Amino acid sequence: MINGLIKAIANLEEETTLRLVREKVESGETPLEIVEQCRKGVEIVGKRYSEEIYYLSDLIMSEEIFRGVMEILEPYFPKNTAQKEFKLIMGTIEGDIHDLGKNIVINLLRSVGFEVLDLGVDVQPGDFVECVRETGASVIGISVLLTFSINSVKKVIKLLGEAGLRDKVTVVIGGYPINERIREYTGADYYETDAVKAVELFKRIIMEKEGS
Amino acid sequence: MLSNSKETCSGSRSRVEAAIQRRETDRVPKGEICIDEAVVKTSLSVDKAGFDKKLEFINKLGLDIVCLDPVYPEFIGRLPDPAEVCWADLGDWVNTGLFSFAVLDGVLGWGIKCFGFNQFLTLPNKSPLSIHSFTEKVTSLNIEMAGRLIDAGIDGLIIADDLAYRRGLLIKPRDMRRYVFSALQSQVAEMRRGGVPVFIHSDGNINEIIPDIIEAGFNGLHCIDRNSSMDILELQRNYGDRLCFWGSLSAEDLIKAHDPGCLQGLLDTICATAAKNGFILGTDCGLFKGIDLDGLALIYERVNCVAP
Ligand code: B12
Repeated sequence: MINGLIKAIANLEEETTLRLVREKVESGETPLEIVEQCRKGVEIVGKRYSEEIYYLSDLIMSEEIFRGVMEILEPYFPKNTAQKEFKLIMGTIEGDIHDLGKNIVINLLRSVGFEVLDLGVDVQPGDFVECVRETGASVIGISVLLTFSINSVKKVIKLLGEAGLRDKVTVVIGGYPINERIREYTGADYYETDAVKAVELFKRIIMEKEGS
Repeated sequence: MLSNSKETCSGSRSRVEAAIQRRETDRVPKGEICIDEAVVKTSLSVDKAGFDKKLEFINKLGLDIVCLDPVYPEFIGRLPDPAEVCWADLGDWVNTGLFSFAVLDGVLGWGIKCFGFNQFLTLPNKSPLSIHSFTEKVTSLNIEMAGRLIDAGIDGLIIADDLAYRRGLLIKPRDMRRYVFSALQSQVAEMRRGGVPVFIHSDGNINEIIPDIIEAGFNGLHCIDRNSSMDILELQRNYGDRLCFWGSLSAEDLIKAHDPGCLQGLLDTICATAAKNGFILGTDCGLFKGIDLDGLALIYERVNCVAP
């Protein structure tokens, strides 16, 4: 059954969504129940985007609405339960300052409950490795839009190997020039160029890691 | 390294004019939408890349076009005053034999700069009125700057706006028409009244709005990124009688050009494209630091021998 809140998010109705969330809070629904409904709404947005009914601006609109929902719900979340077991780090590779795609993927991941550490743009290969060491993260997402920065991605994989971390870390790459050939060239584990599919991919990877 | 085949620019302007009017040309006209200073410095081993060095570089590469970027005052979170904008060495460039284009930024580019990406892209949904008044301001800014450029003797104008990315348009076609194209239409009409051809540059997959580009009155389209599903031969088949197409070489093509088989494949495609009038060869992204300039030089040299 699709309730009003799910529908409001799916239809990108910001005001209605926020009003419904406030009403639900007042009527005693738990924040987790509310977030779950919102997630379903965002999922429908993702599906419509995949089906090319929605455009990039719609995907962004749904993130914006979701962010507004989280602001309302923030005070009602019990502290510490937000601590996630898995850490995922993400950044745009050295030499490249494109971050719009990376930010969309990060926001979508956050809106389905992942803790993502954003290293920003123009990230040196060594910094990805250093960050894995410091945080114990087991998944790295690398965004790359410039063809000539692809070698730096390869370098991340090489440095992970040298640090003895390659087996522990799954590397996913995405961005404008990325395809299977480039994944193979860099030695990354997976690639994805669609934001919605990227979220599915990260979910799968993390579920597999949890399983093992 | 680039070859030293020094080309004179005589004929460049008329060659480009002919391509824009979709008439026959003596050889394929070539142009780059932007040339990063760092590329010129590295290529010519110089510390400064002023007018002379840039011209030397353009001649060395055998280009027919120079594109002049606007120089804005330091960004202050709002649209500039037209008087605050200039184009470096404009007076000198219009007196070379090259076809001179000046670049003006479009509504989306300015909007993203002034409001932020998420904020501007969601504005049609959140505040149609403010996007409307913003597009009007961009329109009058561009019309005023175009007037100055035309008076200074510029040969053509390019409205550069990234309307799309690899997969498709950034905003709904409906919003694109309502806010972007309505503004473009009046800009293009005013510019063409000034007697110059007007091109649009947009990255990404814009197949959906080519008819709108034609309807807005543009003479040509720059970029044509194959990696974003823009197929130049297909575009020519469908719209070649109404638009001039400029670009089509990707950064990857330049790397591939070092392989003789790949180079031949690229040249075959260029020849097939150049067989129809209304084509200007160039990269889809301009020359930026790190791009494979030697690969580009290989393509450009060979193109002179084989096409049209
Ligand atoms: C917007 C843009 C810019 C903006 C960037 C603003 C910003 N804050 O990011 C500005 C104007 C600053 C810019 C600058 C430049 N750009 Co630019 N830019 C673009 C453009 C138009 C769109 C990119 C974009 O944001 N798309 C929207 C997002 C949502 O899509 P996306 O990034 O692909 O991300 C999606 C997926 O790839 C995926 N994804 C992304 N990251 C990740 C990561 C992971 C882990 C996963 C799983 C998935 C994933 O999910 C996203 C959502 O679906 C593209 C054109 C194009 N066709 O893409 C050129 C483009 C990328 N730029 C290009 C170039 C060359 C440049 C410049 C060198 C200048 C120039 N000459 O144009 C500079 C470089 C600056 C630098 N050092 O990085 C070229 C790159 C060519 C190449 N092959 O190397 C392109 C392709 C344009 C072209 N056709 O030539 N650019």
